[in-house]
Amino acid sequence: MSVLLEIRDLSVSFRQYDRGLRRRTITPVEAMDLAAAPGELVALVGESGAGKTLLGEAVLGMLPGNARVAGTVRYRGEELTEQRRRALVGRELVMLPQSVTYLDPTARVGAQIGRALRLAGRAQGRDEVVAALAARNLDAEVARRYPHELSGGMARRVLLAMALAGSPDLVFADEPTPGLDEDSVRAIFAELRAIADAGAAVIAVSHDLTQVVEVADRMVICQGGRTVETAAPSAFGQGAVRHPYSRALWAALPANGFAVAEEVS
Amino acid sequence: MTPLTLSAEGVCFTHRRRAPWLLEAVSLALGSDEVVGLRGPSGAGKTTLARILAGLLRPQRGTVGFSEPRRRDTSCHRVQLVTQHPVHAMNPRWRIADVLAEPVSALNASADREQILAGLVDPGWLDRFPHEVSGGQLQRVNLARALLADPDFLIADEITASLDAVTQARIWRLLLERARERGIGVLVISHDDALLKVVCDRVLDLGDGGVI
Repeated sequence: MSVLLEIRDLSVSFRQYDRGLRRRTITPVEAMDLAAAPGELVALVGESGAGKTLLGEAVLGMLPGNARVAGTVRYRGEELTEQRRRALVGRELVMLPQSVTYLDPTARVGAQIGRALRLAGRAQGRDEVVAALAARNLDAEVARRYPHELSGGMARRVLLAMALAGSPDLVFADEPTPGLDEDSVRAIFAELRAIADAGAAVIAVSHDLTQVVEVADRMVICQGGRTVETAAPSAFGQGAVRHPYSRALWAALPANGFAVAEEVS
Repeated sequence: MTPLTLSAEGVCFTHRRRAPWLLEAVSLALGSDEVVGLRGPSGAGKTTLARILAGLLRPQRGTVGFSEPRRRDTSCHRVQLVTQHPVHAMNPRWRIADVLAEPVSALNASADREQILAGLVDPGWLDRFPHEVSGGQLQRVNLARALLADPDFLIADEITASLDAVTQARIWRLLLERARERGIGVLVISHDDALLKVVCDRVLDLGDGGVI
């Protein structure tokens, strides 16, 4: 199977004004590598602030103007230029955003899903909106609500309905599950798994290690702006991960001892 | 200090008129010497209940009260709420030092404030803005601010759901340590049963709008 997306030695830096006119450059992403093939679900796990979200934003061209991206990003074997990106993002390449603030606070949920369906070139009638909600276990009544009337879990499922309105080939799911109950987490990972099985490549950023190892094909572990290790999901439970940070991550899970390993901080 | 109790009795709440109750006749009691978990399906009203307990929402029926009058010297609410996204809880134009100076309490004006901050907030962050520290670091600032308000109770609503496991374990160690030292009761809202099992003395279930 050929690789759909290949990222090599990606770095992202920002130029900022510090005090007055003094400028500084910070580099939150130093060297990240990642590859995803059609049909694959790749989990990107690791430290908060390690640059997992920035990696997705760099691929989809969502970074602010003061960001500098270096390294190679290839999509379908060719470099992902600004021009290609503009043609692909939102259709073939989609982001399932992390923050529920991506919802418009002034529009009803039904209208927002309808808009996503229209942008994806789908029919956008009431029936389609209700079907998109029902596919995520949400009642038709939810269409009339505003975002502040949704629970965290419901808002996340609405975002999922919007992101998957088209039939994307590459989905970058940024933390799709925090704050959800176990059944909803399982349902969302099952949906991402199904999208991968249907032929798309899915990259899922997650802190929910116990659940994501159940569905992922590969785990990419990162810390401090670098990808430190790529491992099989089963390697965690078998103690076969090599990098000290990967081990610390597994040992810190509440069910595995809640250990705070000082040497990795 | 002898423990005191925060109690909710028969609390009913709905976001819109004529809609069914989101919370119906919910009652619970939380001691200032315990760490209690609150679990329940997504949409059951956990966060709404947290906001009611913290005085941010008023229930349409029922009451929230304390077993004893205020005895700490603070102008902040006796129940402090810490939520999942600290960046939404802070003024983006304030530096971390200003964020931490906000709670008006005798504790925040005394030398004891340093004991709260030690291990929780790195002095190097103080002149930065909220978006210039990582999510885990900002959650520690958020927690420190809640503690500096010198509350009797603290509600932790999915405070580590967006954080990696190592950062999560570190934050909970610090929180439980401070809560024990200062006699603060903690209500832990989480979907992570493994986490609740490790940090809580007991766990309550909030069914679909139902009674605990």
